[in-house]
Amino acid sequence: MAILPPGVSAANFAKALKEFEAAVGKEWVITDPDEIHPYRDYFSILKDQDDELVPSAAVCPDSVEQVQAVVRAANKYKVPLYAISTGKNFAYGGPAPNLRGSVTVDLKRMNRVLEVDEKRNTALVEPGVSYMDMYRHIQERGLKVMIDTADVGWGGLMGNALDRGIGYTLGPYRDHSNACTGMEVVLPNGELMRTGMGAMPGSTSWQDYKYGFGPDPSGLFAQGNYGIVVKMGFRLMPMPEHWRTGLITVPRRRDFIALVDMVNYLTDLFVIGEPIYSSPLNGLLGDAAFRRAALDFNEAEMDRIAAANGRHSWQVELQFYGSERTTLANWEWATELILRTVPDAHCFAGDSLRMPVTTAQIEAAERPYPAPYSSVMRRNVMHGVPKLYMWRSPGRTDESPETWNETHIGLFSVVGRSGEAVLKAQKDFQDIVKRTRPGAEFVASLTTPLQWNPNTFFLGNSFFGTATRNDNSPEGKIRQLKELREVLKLNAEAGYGDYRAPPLLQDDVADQYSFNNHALRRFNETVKDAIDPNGILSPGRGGIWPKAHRSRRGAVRK
Amino acid sequence: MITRRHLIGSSVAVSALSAFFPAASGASPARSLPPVALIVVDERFEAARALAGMLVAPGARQVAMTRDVLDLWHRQIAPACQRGALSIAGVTTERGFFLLHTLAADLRLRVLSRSHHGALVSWLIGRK
Repeated sequence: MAILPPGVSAANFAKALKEFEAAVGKEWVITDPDEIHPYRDYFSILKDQDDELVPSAAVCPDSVEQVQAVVRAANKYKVPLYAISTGKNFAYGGPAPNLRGSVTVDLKRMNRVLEVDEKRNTALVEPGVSYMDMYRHIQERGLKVMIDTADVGWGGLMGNALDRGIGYTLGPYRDHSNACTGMEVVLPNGELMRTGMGAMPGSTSWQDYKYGFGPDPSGLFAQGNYGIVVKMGFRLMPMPEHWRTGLITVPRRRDFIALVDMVNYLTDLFVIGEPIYSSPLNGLLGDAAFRRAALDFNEAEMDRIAAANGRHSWQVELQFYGSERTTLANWEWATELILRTVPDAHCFAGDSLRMPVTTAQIEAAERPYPAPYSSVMRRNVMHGVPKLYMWRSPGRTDESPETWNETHIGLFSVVGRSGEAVLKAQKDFQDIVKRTRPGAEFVASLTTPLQWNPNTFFLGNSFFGTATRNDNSPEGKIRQLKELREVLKLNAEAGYGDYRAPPLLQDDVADQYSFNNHALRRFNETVKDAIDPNGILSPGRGGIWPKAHRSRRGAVRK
Repeated sequence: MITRRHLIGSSVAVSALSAFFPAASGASPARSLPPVALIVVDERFEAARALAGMLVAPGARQVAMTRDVLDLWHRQIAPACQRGALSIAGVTTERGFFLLHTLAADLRLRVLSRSHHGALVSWLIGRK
């Protein structure tokens, strides 16, 4: 055995493995280094280094009872566990644990779709069910519901929801964590608990009312380490009759404020799915004068050059789900709303498709808008069809085989959901780049928000995603890690918190949420110590370290 | 655009795979493996087609790598593996290789051999 769990002797680890084998069968306890290999983060900054976050072994239970037995054995020998569903979200660390030497509890064998109710529009699934599994289950049965898939369709419904993943359709569905309708959890002592109506024996409405009675602890299991979720309910979107899109552009930089106000209004009335913002001015960045103006946030000059080039400054693509008539009425309403406040806005009708759409419609290359405007909307996710189209980061891409980057990290900051807040954040982000890497040139003034969660704007500091390309040396990667940590610190100083991170950066993100001397962290760790006194479940996840391992907070490449 | 020039170094690939595909090098097989059921080829690239043509695996079916890798996996590759054909080979881009070997890991299949040549990778995945 190359790696031992921290604080566990070789003899005790061997005994623990024997008990794991008794629980799940010898075949499903994995210790062969070759076979443990897939439980790494392929794109880790610390890849192949002595402190890379890798497990000591993996165990693959097939039932709730087996999960319980594994947890009880881990308690006996104080072996830290790290549970994964499909473990394929590589932007956030893939299957890698927070604590090197943990035993991965791989729940892929628990991949049963337990129930889909197309009248109540709910589902109950096990942890290993991927978006593709669920999509195929629905397709094969001709059910009149649709899923809201993540970009990368090999991910798991449950794992994505528990990491607060997001999607693209209507608001209640694309906030995957919030679409949860109840769960069954193996607690750190091996006991089984259900939340919501599931806590009532014989309940006939588990997926209908997520709260039940009293405090609802289900939120604690997202980005946390208080239990292993073994069943989760989801609200599903009934299949609409029709899907319609449209593009709205506004001419001046400051018109972004009115554009966001209009889109927020429609979002909060549940009229539109995810709006896709972008700037047609990205196409002018090759023009030296425009680039200078964009770098300097010279708004008058940016507006002048945009007008001279016949381009509007901002665009948003809207999507409507409903019937043919209601989607048309809602599109026309959206155009009325924007023209009231920005009379020289342009509105272009887009797709109008009967649902469910065909594969050919999803993959159609043509887009309906006149140059210089174009669609950046990905139809497959808007229709809940899982694909891997977005997977481009690892190694050499098909499109640019000579340009590649071995690391792959997602970091997105939460900013205020208004046009004013976005325009301010753009300046702040550019300033953060200057402070982190003096002399670097980065245009942030065209960065647009991602509204994956209907109530939230996420803004990515894309500079650090591209600046390290072609520098795959260990030193280059460590420099990248240090820069990212500095960025997270500066983000917090400017009032921006990040919503998600790979294990290597979770302590840094948790540090951002430090109100009242880290009252939130102290609360989380008080709960952790109470329910997991041996600290065996996913130590460090979400920045929550149990007493047994608390000294390891922020210890990796500090 | 990947062209024939990327076949420079393909002899390395053939050498690496020769343990499993004796016809690629004229050598005797160094190891015995379950039969290769499928050879996945990214047919967009002439070099991939040419290299795949050098691999001889009796009974193997050649399938085209499609843009929709997930669909290809679920419709063709995974069912073949689950029917007992536990080795698959391919000549694809790095991206295609990564996606397929990551999916294959769920069936406890591992990368037995790989060779990079230009932007293409030839590979063999199966039970150790």
